[in-house]
Amino acid sequence: MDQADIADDDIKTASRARRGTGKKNAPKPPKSRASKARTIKLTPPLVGLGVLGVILLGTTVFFGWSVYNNSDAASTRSTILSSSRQEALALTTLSSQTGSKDYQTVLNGSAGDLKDQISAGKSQFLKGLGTAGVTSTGKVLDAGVQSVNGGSAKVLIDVQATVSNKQTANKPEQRAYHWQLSLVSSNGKWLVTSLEFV
Amino acid sequence: MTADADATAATPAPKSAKKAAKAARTGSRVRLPKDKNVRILSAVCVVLLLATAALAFFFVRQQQASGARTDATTAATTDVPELLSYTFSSFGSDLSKAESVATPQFRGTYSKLMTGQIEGPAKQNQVVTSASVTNSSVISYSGSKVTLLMFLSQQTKTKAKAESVLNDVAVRVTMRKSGGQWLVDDMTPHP
Repeated sequence: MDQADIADDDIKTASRARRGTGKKNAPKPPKSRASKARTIKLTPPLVGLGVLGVILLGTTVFFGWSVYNNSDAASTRSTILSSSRQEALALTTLSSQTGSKDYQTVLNGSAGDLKDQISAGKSQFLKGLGTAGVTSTGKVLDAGVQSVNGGSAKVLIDVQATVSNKQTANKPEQRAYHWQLSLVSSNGKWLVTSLEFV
Repeated sequence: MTADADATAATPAPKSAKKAAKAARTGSRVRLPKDKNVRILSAVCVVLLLATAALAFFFVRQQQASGARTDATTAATTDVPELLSYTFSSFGSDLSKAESVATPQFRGTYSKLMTGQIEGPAKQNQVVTSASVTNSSVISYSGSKVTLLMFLSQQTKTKAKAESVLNDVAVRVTMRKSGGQWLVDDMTPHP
């Protein structure tokens, strides 16, 4: 009698038992040898490999998470620099002819104290541009990240602007600005909250 | 077929030859464990091991780059002022000292500039200049190369003026790791 025959006999016995009693709480059929064979036998190599697998899974998760975080940090630095450049350009690229649009661009890249100051001085800002007949074109020479702490960052930026106004007799003049910008992360964007001459 | 060859074929092979033949037959294939579960777990472990090794490699590189950022900034904070400071009376020794913080490649460019364009006027006007870093930031970085934006304050005194002149200077500095040491590989003052 082979293993399949034994299994068949067991199943038949169980069926007979269920039919014969007809009770709800009929005894459970005995486990067949075939189903017993499906249980995993924990041999030493299997246990060893299981332990090794768990350890390797742990290290994979650790390194994966760390690599992801570090890549994210590098990407964040890049975004911070990009936002800083954009706002520095907005602050130095102004014209009496496009005053309202320029004002809005500066406002869009700002937050906190800087935004409050700009918002409060809108009319003064536009009047100043108009009366002085300002035309300024900015160029960011370099920008670097000083620090990043969670949702805030500090950036150094070197900007050169070519400015002409009534004071310069409408002749273009080169001006250099060395700024330290403070930024905060807000709704996925990095916005400038303060600007300091350094 | 010769008689000798027939005799050889008829002779039964020795036991060691049989073993060798069996070993050759079985040895030509990879012997897999009999247990299916062991085979599966072994494969999973190999995949995890490869994944861990690859991720560990990237992790170490990232850590090196992160450390490079800090180390290069620290080195640049002391090295760049040395390159931008000199006294007319000790020009030669100041130059030698400054050259020691530059990479061989940048050393040539720096020496040429200092001896060709700066030394003469510096001695003639008795120039004493010293620079100090006011702020520094990182533009880009990798494990062996870091580019910085530095703001410096440079104080210059000449025989023509009794008082020192203070200038704010912005420079783009490239630091490179050479022989385990961070050295200045390039320095470009901004206009």
